Amino acid sequence: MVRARHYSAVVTGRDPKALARLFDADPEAAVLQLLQETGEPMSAIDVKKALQDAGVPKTDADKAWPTVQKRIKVNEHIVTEGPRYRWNRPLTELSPAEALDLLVKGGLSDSEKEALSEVIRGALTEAPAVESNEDSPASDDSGEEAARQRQEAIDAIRKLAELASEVEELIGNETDLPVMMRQVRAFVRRSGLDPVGQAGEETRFDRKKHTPIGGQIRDGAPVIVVRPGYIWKTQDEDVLLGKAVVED
Amino acid sequence: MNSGLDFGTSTTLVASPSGIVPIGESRAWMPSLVGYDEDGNTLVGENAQDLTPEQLIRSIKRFITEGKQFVQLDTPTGLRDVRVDDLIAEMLREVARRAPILTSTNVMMGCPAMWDGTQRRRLVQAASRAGLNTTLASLVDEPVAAGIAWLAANPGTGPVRVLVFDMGGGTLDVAVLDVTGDDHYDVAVLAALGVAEAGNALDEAIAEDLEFGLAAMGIDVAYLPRPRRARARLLYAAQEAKIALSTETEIDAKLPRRDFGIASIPYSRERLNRAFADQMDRAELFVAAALRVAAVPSGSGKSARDIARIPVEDLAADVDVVVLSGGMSQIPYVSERLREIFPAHIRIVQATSAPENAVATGLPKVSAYGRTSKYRPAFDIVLEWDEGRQTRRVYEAYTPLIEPRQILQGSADLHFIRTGRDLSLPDSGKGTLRVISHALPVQASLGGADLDGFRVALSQQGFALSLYPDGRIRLTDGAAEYHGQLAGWS
Repeated sequence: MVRARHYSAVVTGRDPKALARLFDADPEAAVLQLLQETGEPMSAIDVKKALQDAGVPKTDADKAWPTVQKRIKVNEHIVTEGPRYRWNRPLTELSPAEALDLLVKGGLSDSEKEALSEVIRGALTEAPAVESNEDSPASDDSGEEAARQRQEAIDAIRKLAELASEVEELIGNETDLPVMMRQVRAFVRRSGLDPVGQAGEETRFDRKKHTPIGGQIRDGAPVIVVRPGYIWKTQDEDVLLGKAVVED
Repeated sequence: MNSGLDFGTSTTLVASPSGIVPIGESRAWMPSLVGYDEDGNTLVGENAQDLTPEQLIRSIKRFITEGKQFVQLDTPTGLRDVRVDDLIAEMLREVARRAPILTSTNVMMGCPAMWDGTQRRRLVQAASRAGLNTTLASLVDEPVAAGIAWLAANPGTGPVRVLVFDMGGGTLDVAVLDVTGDDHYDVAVLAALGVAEAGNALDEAIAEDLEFGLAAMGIDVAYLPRPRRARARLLYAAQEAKIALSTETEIDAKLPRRDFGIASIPYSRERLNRAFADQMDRAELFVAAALRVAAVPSGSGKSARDIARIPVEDLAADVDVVVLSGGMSQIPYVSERLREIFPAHIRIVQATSAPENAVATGLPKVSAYGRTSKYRPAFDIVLEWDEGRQTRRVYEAYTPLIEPRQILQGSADLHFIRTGRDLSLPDSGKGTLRVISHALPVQASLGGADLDGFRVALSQQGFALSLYPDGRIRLTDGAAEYHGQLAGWS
């Protein structure tokens, strides 16, 4: 199997001989450093190959390995995953989210569970970070949800503001009334609203769609629309926002 | 968990796996603005909107595209050349302050499909300086992110070829993706091309059209009391007309009666389509170019001339879905023109319900997909010798293996090649090839052994490494010729 990442001067940008020198002095420390820097699980073959690439003679690496292996297996920083060894970050360095994931995964000792709980407890009692923008959302999921709800409310009222601006601009332009009507209707349509009736329209009374001015009006009686209603069309349903107001 | 950051030319968006996380003062997006005020403070986003043009930069992302390191800004100490990357880092710091999710998760960032390794590294470095947890591997081509936004919402089975058409205000990006694997999760990028054609050019074309319409009514804009103001007004009306005509077939463009003598002029979708036609002609050619590049990996043995000769209809027929994203993609004319290339059985769909959000929406979902880029592979191939003291980058990650123009020019052999002379190699000694992946681990064979660790006889005249879009590798060195293959490419 070809390993993608390679411990070499090109990747780490450091003196390639440093690891070999450390190995001469203390083979276990060199292997621990290698594992810590790589951050990924490495098998015995991977470790020996990396050492050789770093300049450690093959025979030296092979000779030192059995002892080093025994020692790193019991090292508190090393986790074995099958035949591989991995440098493990201390639990206290995990983020609260990572800590929660591990807790849920299970299979931990009591002291490990306690350490992870501390991390989470600490995050819960922490003061919220100072924001540069006072109105921006908090950091947790409920903050995200609050930000979304705020945005939805803003977007809804913005449509109202834009309609008001549209009408004022049209009036300021001295727009002909029929043109203005067309513009307003198109704007409203774009916003996802379907009209129920048009002002001035002659139609027949339908109590499902019409509200009468004055007394009751028979279904089917001729009426004129005074004020349109609207239906809000969404993906899931059509919502009748208001019936058309009509008179006979 | 991953978050997504779409650092766009005009707007910046953030997303979590559940959707857009609003970061603007009253919008979901933050304007991509940065500058200095009179006191020397760096202002970002809405806060920068009130600065004068000399104090402010509007499209700072373009500086990376254009390879510019410095920009001239009016600062309290006078006109100064400021380092662009410092400003970008400051901008991203502000985004991180507004969206703390960016500092507590892995951040996937979008970048233009056409950016090379140097440009991508610039963005990654600026992001790291801003405290974001991001690497070269977490940069995703924007059209690929948009494609994944659609794929994630439309799970299916069986292999699928997707063409992503991402047309925004400033750029058009087209990508061709092959989606395979169990659960539909392996994405191979066969082509990802980008061009800086402004969709904003359509606004100007409509404004010009409005001016012609006024002339036909006897109103000559050049002879109005204030022609400059009138033309600005026409552009304003054009921008609105463009949006309105996505849902209406005819609208009244708004004009002030006191300046023009009339308060409206009708404008139809038909006329907008005519104004848009030239631009869409060019976009069509671009789509064809992307389809040709995508045809190369599976067309081993075919020459450039063969590929150039394949009719566009045949190339298009291989596509299963066309995914639209970007603000301009909502204009009906876009899908009408694409429908002329892609026959009826090929679906043309929007990436998401809000096309400006497609890239951001897709980014947090990308990690679920295995991504291989066959067009711009995400690994470096390096040659080392003298115990690592000498190195040369033989292949730099994100360099396109072939350029579209090579197909059109009928270049004899479609592949990437680097020679000993290009690299100034010595003429003796032995070196070792290394593969450094910025994404998924790379498995490759050469001469019966692994490419990673392959021993090479150094020779300035004799060395040549070739990478082919179908994954074939060919190496000649001072001693012999070797053949190899990138695993999983064909």
